[in-house]
Amino acid sequence: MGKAHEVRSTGEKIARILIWVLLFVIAALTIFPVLYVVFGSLKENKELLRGGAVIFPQGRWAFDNYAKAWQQANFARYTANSLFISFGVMIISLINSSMAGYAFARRPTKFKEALYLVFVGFMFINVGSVSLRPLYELAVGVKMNTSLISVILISAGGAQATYIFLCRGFVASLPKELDEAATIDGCGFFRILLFIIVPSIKSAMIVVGLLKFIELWNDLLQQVTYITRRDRYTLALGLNIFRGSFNDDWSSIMCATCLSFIPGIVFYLIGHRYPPQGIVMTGMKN
Amino acid sequence: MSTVKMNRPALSGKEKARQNWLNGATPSTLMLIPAIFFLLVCSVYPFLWVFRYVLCNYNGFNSTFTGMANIQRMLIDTTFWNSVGTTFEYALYKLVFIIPLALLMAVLLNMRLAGSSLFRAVYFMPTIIASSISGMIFMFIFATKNGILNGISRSLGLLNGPPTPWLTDPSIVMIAVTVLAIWGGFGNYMLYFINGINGISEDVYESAKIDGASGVRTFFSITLPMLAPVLKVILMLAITGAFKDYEAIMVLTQGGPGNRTMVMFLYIYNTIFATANGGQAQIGYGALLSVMAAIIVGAVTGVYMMVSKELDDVMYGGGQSGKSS
Repeated sequence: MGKAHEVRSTGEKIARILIWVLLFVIAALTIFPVLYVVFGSLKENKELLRGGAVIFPQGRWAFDNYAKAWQQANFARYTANSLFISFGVMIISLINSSMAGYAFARRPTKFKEALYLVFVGFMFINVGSVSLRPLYELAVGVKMNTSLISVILISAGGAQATYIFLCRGFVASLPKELDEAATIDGCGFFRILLFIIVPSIKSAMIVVGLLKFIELWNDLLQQVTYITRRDRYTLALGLNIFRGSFNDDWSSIMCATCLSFIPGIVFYLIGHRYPPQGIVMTGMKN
Repeated sequence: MSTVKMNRPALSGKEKARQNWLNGATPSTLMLIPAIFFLLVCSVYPFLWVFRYVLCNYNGFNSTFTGMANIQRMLIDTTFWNSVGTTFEYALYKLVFIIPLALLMAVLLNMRLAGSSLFRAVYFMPTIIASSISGMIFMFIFATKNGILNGISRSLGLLNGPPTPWLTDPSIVMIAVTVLAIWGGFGNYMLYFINGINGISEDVYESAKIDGASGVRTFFSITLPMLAPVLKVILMLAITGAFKDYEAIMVLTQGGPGNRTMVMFLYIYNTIFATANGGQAQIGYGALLSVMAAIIVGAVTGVYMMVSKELDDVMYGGGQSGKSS
């Protein structure tokens, strides 16, 4: 920021160059595995099986790998399922966390305070993967275990507390006069939420939406547990099963891996302007 | 609607409901219904369910009460206690490398050299890749026969003999697991540190510069002390996060070779779902181990909070503990 006019000594210049080299080396090490997969997806399968250190394809650039993975290996279907689950959870989480965040931030009652403590408590109790089992049995019990809806509901409910607290923090930072003015204009509680609050906490909504989407897109454990039918497989799950069953078709695996990067990159491009300190400080907005 | 409501000591039930609706008491409670539903189904119910089977032998079809058998088994289950040890070992390696690296990168990026925002994007990139996918990528890298790392060392002349069995030699497999953990995680903590540093006022740096403080001096006298509250939160997240990591390890090594990389939660997962060993699910026993694991993580968190409070008292004389940036 405005440091261009400073006069620097030779020593400082050398230090800055060395630091830049360090940054560059670490960046190169970090991105190498990703580049290897991206260009690996364009290698022919026999070249991939040989392995080795070369990033770029030595023989033909096999762009048809993607067509093969998309159609034969059924990754089109898996991608559609992944999108369905991720969007479903995102929408439910946005509705749920904005409503609950608003309700917790305004009109405090004894009941809400007690409820809030329960939410905080369960945020810290973590029994890990064992809780996957009762929910699986519950899904079987209500005959929803073949539907992706059960995955969506369980995933939306599983980690809701963090996002509710985030929204609550943002709503609490808005002046109460905003609500009061809307009430005088004849707005009901639901209309205030929809037309006044949600637009005002847009950045929190974007953070919640992006995080939820990417969480579900990248999730494997829940999907491994709940999804048993082959035509309901998601990208992550399909990739995991595929890797186990046709071990030698590495080019399809690499292509599917590259597909799985795309939402993450979009997420970064949109999301990096919304700093995550809100999440670290559980929704303390300055 | 036309009745006079003023000066009436007690409203009729219907009137009261109407008033609660208008002033927002009822709607704001209604808005909590989805959250309460999710809380009951996804948090409370599994929690109670776990305790129902803690003392049972349950394979997914029928359960029998077995009294203290599960507890006795846990006490002598060396695989479990070794996995607890491995979890601590893994968390230690991860924290020792990842926190200093993330802090260093945050400070260096803050110098705003050319290309800083691109570097930042690159460092953050592994964070948005699924841990199951990164586990798989590192399988390609560390594979013995046609792995990328062995290929590189060979072409650099570092490897002349047989290829290094990164994932199958118990004495070096933790290196592979740790490298994966660092690669996948440091960008996230770096971003937290960058936000913390941005919260420090520019004026402080200006005056340090006027006083002639060097970059290193500025870091130790200003950045680090002023980051202390943020650092505390980040360490807390890093510790609890490291204890819960297992998805990537599950894909990379499946806990092997010979349970060398078996972390606590991976062992529990295998017990409950019996996927890795093809055996029968032991849900009751897994439930007990889960409770034990939750206690261990809780204890570690508690110890950390006590230690960090002690440190606060030493540093600030207790006056400023709990102050956030």
